[in-house]
Amino acid sequence: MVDEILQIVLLVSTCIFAVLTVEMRDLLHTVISLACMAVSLGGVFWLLKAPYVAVFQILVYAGAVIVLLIAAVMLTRRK
Amino acid sequence: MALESALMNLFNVLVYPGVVFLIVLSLFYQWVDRRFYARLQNRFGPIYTGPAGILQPLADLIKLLSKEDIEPSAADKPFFRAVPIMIVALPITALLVIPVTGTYSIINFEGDLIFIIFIMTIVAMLAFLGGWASTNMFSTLGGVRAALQTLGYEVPMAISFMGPAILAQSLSISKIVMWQWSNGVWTILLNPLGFAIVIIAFLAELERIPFDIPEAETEIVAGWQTEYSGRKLALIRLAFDLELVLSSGLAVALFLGGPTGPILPGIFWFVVKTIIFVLIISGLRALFARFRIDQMVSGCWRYLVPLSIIQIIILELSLGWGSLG
Amino acid sequence: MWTEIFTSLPFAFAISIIVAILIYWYGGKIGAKGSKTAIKLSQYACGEYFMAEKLQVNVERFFIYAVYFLIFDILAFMLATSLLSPGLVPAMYALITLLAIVLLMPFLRIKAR
Repeated sequence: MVDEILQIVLLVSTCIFAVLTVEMRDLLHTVISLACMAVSLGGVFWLLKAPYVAVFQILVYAGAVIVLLIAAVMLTRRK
Repeated sequence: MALESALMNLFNVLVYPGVVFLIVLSLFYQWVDRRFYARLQNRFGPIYTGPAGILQPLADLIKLLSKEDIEPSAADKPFFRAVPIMIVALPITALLVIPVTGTYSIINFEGDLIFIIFIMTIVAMLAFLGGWASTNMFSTLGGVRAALQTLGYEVPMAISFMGPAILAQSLSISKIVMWQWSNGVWTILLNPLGFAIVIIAFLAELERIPFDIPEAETEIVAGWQTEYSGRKLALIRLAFDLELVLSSGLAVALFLGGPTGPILPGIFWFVVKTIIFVLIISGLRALFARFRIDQMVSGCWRYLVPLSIIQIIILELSLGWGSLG
Repeated sequence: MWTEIFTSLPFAFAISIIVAILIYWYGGKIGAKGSKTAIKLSQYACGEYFMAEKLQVNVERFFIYAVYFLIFDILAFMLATSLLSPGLVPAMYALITLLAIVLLMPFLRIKAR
């Protein structure tokens, strides 16, 4: 029962963060919401009993890609 | 019966060895660190408040909590307020995964070593976010340096953590401590180079000299913490000490056998071993000067990463030799 | 069921956030309440006057380290999948990674402009 509630909560938060990524104005806010969406999706994979997929999802997205995106945010001209 | 064990679990999470005990331990380690660092510099450190100055970190925390909380008008308010709260909440969550009293921690699952590496990366990124949200030039510079430092120490640290995991054939910290306890050998004897690399990487992660580039006191005022004052700065200082407990607890659990020992209960051995680790880090603090950021990042990639991979190769070949016969 | 909730990760995270917010709120209660003047609310620059802007830092020299981090982070965590069978195959994998980092080292020299 707890697992199902947690799964629904994580799926809803994934959708919310995905919409926020596309709709926000400031570039750094979009990067943060992309990271939160990746972490929520990793949590869903964990609850579906796929631990290796969850670990690599969190590592590849929230670890490496966010570092690169922050570097890219700083190299682009703002306004 | 179920209610009794549920209340026992709640007591474990909240008080001992949970949140209250960890905060008290972090303030105690700050006192140990300050006294040892001061004696190495031929001065005294805190000696007045409480017996031998042991209440000084608590006094500093309460003093900072009672100061005025000034938020600059140009700061990015949601991130500016969220960073101190998250930077305290994440190390407390990670500390519940490390075995403190026995061979098993309160929360343990199969991938929790990688979960702790992930938490450490997020804490470093929170330093960058705090600096960026302050819209002060010095804060932004300190935050960028914190993010760049993560690029340097993260890979050798992760590779060195795989050493004890390969020996114990598990990715769970509690199982690694169990392996060391049941085989009677500490992992540091089987990969000493990994332990040396972990000490250097933790010096960079805790932002201590010689790697306190994000917080360089003589260069950029106070780095990314410049605009934080009052209760926010109190939370950041508390997070600093909690990270010290987290790093020393993790190094002790992975390399020095965790809270296991001959006669006395586990918590005694945990405190003794982590104090030894804190003294090593304080001693290294007193010895070195500060590196530049490009020296630090290129030095990590040129020296630490090949050494850690060589350690893994030696480990794998010796294990494979044993199975081949 | 309740015993499992208390030792699960989301509950621990919720407790940590509640503890942090408690300390934050307590600081708000006992904190000093000063007045808000314009000078106090501007940013701190040791007495000099700077415009409040989000500074654009030039980190172009470190971009190659970000690419190296991206590649070698994944390679490092592939070692975690080889836990149950130590032996010659992970050693060869680590040897190839070592050759990669050693051969890429001459490119790490930062050119001073």
